[in-house]
Amino acid sequence: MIAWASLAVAALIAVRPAWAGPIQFTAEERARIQAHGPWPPPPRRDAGNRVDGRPEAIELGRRLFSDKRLSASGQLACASCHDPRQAFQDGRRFTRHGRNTPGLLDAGQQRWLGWDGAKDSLWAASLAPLTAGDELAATPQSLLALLGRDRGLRRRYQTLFGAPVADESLLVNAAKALAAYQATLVSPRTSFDDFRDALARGDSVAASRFPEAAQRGLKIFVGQGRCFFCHAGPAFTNGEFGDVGRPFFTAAGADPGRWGGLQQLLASPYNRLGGYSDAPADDALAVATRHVVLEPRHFGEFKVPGLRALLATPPYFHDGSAATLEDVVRHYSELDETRLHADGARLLQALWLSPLQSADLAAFLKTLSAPTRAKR
Amino acid sequence: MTPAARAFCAALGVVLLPAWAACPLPKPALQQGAVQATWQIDAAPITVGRHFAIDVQLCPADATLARVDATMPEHKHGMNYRPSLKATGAGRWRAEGLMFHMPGRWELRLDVQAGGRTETLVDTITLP
Repeated sequence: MIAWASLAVAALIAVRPAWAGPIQFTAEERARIQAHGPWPPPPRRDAGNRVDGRPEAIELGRRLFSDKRLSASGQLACASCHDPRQAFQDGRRFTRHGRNTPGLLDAGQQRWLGWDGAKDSLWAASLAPLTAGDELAATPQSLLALLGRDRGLRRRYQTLFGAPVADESLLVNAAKALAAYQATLVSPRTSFDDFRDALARGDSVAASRFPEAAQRGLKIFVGQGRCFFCHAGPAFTNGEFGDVGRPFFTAAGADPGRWGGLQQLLASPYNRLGGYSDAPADDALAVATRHVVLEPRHFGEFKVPGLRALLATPPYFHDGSAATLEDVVRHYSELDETRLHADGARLLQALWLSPLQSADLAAFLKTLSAPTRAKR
Repeated sequence: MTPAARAFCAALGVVLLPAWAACPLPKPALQQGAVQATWQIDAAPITVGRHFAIDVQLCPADATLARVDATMPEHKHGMNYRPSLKATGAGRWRAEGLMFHMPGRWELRLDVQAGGRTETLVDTITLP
């Protein structure tokens, strides 16, 4: 009898009826939850890419993205590592560069591209692997030859950019078409978004449909866990860089992260301040590149990733060293604080979560992925 | 305006209007020594991870806004960006390129040169 009663009580705790409403959030927590929406955001138009948003460019970019003929070897396409079936990631721990391949969903919203933020636009981020000798290794001549062989492709290119010329413009234009396509890759709405919107309109019945474990995990996320410090805003990232205590030593030596990326960015002729950008001098999106500063503290920092579509993009961290979201939570729960440099109050502290709290936080993180696939 | 031009105007009884008209600035202005400043964001509210610009009004109007910076005193770090400054006339300045990458307490610091001295005016902004 006592056992049955205990089970009944446990069941009541585990399954919160809809009429009970969501768990209690403070006004401060509610404000923080609201800051993680709305979703999807409006498109972030890139004046640096004159074909951004044009349907013909999106279609050309979509075709080029999966076209292995772009590569010198004929064996590699953008989609080889950014697989549309895996949220445009490859599922491998890391590439030969020692870094995990970033997914491309919501890339159009990002200020900095790559774990080190070495690129400040989607087209510059597309140009790098397109031309890198150890990646696609395309050249103006190889692209011109491809357009010579494929009349349909040539016609699409010509509609957007005029007659192809075998110089750097051909590569940049191809990268801009690729960027136009990638800017359309937006992660779908999630059950968290429904919960957030229900809270905003005071619909407690709809809010109660959000799993209670996820609600408790969210309370940790916007509360004691302080995850929202860096994973801020609708995309769950402040778009900047941090050292969260993951190793930055690779087989090739220390990975300087943002320190190296920023030096690359500032030296690149393909950044938003360079002559290949189509934007006017007062380009609003160039504000970051115009004002960013390089400081020693950037050594070993890596980009704060967005948290949407997480379930489709394991493994995690810049080095792919966490296989599951539970591993990620464990990292922050048992954080080695001595590994982190701090002059003042520590931003990151070990959370020492109980097993239930860890499960709750992981449950919340899983709600940031939608069961359906992203629009292609 | 050069000191010679200012002296010429003063001799004519022109007291540099409208540049001086804003002084003293109405409360609540920041004040340090003989320098006052007010500022406002170009598009409220300040949001974590988003760039913003501020418009600053100085008093005296011939003061120079030499530097704008912001730090988080508790964490002893600043911004990842160095704002650019532009005089827009009559003691007004525009600072672009600010960005607070974390919630919490930030100190906005305005270094202002006036009368041969540099004054630092500090305001506090707390992002939830």
